[in-house]
Amino acid sequence: MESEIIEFLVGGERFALYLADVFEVVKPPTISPVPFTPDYIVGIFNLRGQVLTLLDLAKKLGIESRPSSEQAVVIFEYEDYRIGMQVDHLDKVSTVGSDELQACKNDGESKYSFVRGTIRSGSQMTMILDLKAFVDDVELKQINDHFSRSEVA
Amino acid sequence: MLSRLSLKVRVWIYLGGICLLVVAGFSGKELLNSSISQQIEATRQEIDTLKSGLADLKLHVYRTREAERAYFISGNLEDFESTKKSINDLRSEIAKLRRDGLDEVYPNFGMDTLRIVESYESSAKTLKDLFVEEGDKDSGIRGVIRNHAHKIESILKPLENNSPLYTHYLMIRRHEKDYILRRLDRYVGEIRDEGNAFKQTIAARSDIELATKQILYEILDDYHQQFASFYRLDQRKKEVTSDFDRAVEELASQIDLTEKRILEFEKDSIAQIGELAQVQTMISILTTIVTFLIIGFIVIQFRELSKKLAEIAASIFATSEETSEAGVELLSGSQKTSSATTEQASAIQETVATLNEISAMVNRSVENAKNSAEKANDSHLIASEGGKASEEMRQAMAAISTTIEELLAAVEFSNTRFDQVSKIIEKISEKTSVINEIVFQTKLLSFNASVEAARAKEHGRGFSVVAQEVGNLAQMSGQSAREISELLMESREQVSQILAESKQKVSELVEKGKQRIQLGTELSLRCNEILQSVVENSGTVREMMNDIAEASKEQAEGVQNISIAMNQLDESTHINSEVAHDTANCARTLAEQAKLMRSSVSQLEMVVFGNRSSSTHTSASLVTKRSSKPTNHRPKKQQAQASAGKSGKISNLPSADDQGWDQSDDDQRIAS
Repeated sequence: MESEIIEFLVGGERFALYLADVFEVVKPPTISPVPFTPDYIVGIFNLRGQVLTLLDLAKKLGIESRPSSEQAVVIFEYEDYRIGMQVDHLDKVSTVGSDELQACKNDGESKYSFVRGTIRSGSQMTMILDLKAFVDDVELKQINDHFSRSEVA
Repeated sequence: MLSRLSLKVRVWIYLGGICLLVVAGFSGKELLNSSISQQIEATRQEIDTLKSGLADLKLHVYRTREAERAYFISGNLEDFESTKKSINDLRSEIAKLRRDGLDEVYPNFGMDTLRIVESYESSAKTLKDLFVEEGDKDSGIRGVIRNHAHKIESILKPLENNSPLYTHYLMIRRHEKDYILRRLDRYVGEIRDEGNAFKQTIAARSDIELATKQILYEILDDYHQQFASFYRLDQRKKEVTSDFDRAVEELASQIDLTEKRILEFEKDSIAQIGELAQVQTMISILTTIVTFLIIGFIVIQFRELSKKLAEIAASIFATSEETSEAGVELLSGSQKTSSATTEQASAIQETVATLNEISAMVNRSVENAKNSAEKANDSHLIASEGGKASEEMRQAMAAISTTIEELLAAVEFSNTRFDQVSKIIEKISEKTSVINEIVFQTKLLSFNASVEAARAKEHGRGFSVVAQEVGNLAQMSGQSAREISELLMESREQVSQILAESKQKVSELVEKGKQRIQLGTELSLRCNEILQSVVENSGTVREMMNDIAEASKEQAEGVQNISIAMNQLDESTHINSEVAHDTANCARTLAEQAKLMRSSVSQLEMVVFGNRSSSTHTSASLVTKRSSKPTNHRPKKQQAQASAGKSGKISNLPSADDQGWDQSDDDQRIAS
């Protein structure tokens, strides 16, 4: 079975999301920083009248960001949450076969549970991110609930 | 100052000074003496005059007193006049005394005495008035009294038995006369008593009529009254007399006082004269001392004078000796001169020969100078041409310099062009960034299209492919834009690099060119200057050569003149040798004269010091002092003497004396 993914770069590393999880891709919006937030939460922004939380993926993953001219924000949907994710460079949309995809043993306990699986094409390695690991975050949930919960409901 | 004057004048000055002093001293003393004696005489005379004047005054006082007494007793007007005259005499006498200088002796005298005389005179006048009032038997009070008496008598005469009455009347008259004669007070009382008795007697008589009685009473009363007033007058006269006495007494005491004053004055004058005499003695002693001092001074001066004379004589002595030595030297000198002139003559002949050679040389140098002048002219022309060429070169250099400046301007212009190119490139790169932006947005759109297609599941499958293709296209166009932008970047860098390099190189080249041109210009300028100076120098050389030619000509003439002069010199040399001969003769004469001078000096010494045995020694020692220096001088002296001895014309001084001088010389050096 084939599945479509969207690939992007953060800190020189190649990551990907299932296209099905993605809501929209936008240029970096105007950010309003929120006090008392951890450093990986950049702030909140307005998407056509809807207030969303913006997550700094590089900070969250603990890697050094390498900004380019094609910086972008990928907005994903998980359960009831719709959250923006800042990436260094949007690369491409591609279709992968199941033979290329290798799923990780994910029990939800490990601190590496943010990787759902890997795709190998030649020497290149792409990590598919597990959105559950990002959303299961007290801080993120609180700020998201505070600013945008009612709108979605 | 004195030492500048001649001896004769000095001696005359000294003698004259002494004479003047003696005369002045004596005459001063005589003058003082005579003035003192005159003063004494004058004082004595004055005092005598005053004394005699005072004696006269006394006499006049007594005379006045006498006249006044006479008047007092007689009451005659003549006596009054004589009294008045005496008083006037007294006054004139006082005035005379004052004129004689009594006021100086006793200043109050005049005033006091005159005051007394004044009161005296007024008293005399009072007395005269009193006398007039008293009157005589026909006038005044006395006349009234006499009339009353006659009236009583005429009344009494016709009465019977009038003898007792008459007795009373006569008694009254007797007392009256007694009073007038003796002026005693008791007669006044007796008259009063008698009058009362007379009245009682009249009252007792009954035969006398009452009217007659009344008349008698009245007359008697009036008589008494008149007598009383007469008595009062008399009393006043007495007072006046006492005034006179007082005045005379005062006058006498004044005169005595004045006499005393005169005596005191005499004493004072004598004392003053005594002081004057003392001063005179002092002056005469002082004069004597001063005279002695001056004589002493003069004696010292004369001693110094004689000392100086001795020194001068000695120096003349020495000088005569030196003169004789000089004579000898002169003799030998003149001999040497004679031989030298001979040598000179031969040298002159040699010189003439040499001169001829010089003349030939000068002619040759004239030729050479002419040739050189021509060469100098040529070089002048060449140098002028060189100057022109260098000037042209300098102008060419200036033209090059302007060309370089134009080149610089052209380079500047091309640089601005390059700048414009680089600006255009920048604009292109801006546009490229716009393309990049569009590419990015296209990419985002294709992604979102993919997302939408995925959401549409099976229905969007075709659309997803399209979206992917659009994404790929965007990717490709982005790649191209990136490449274009890199190319632009490169070309821009290159342009700016080229610009910078060309700028630097051009400026370096221009700078170098400028420096070179500067150098060239300077060099050409210097070359020009040098050529100029060469031109000038060659001109100068030409002139100088002409001058040399001229000078050489003159030189030739000069050499001619010199040879003429040489001939004349030859003649002069002959004359010189004759002169040298004459000089030798003169030197001999000089030595003889020196000898004569020495004998004259000996005579002078005799005159100054007398014929003393020590005189020669004194002069000799003085000579040593003046002329001889330390002993190293001696050999020369001896030599001179020896030579003099040989010639037999100079110095006959005894050698013993000579040794004596040296002895004293040595002594002196030891002393010093």
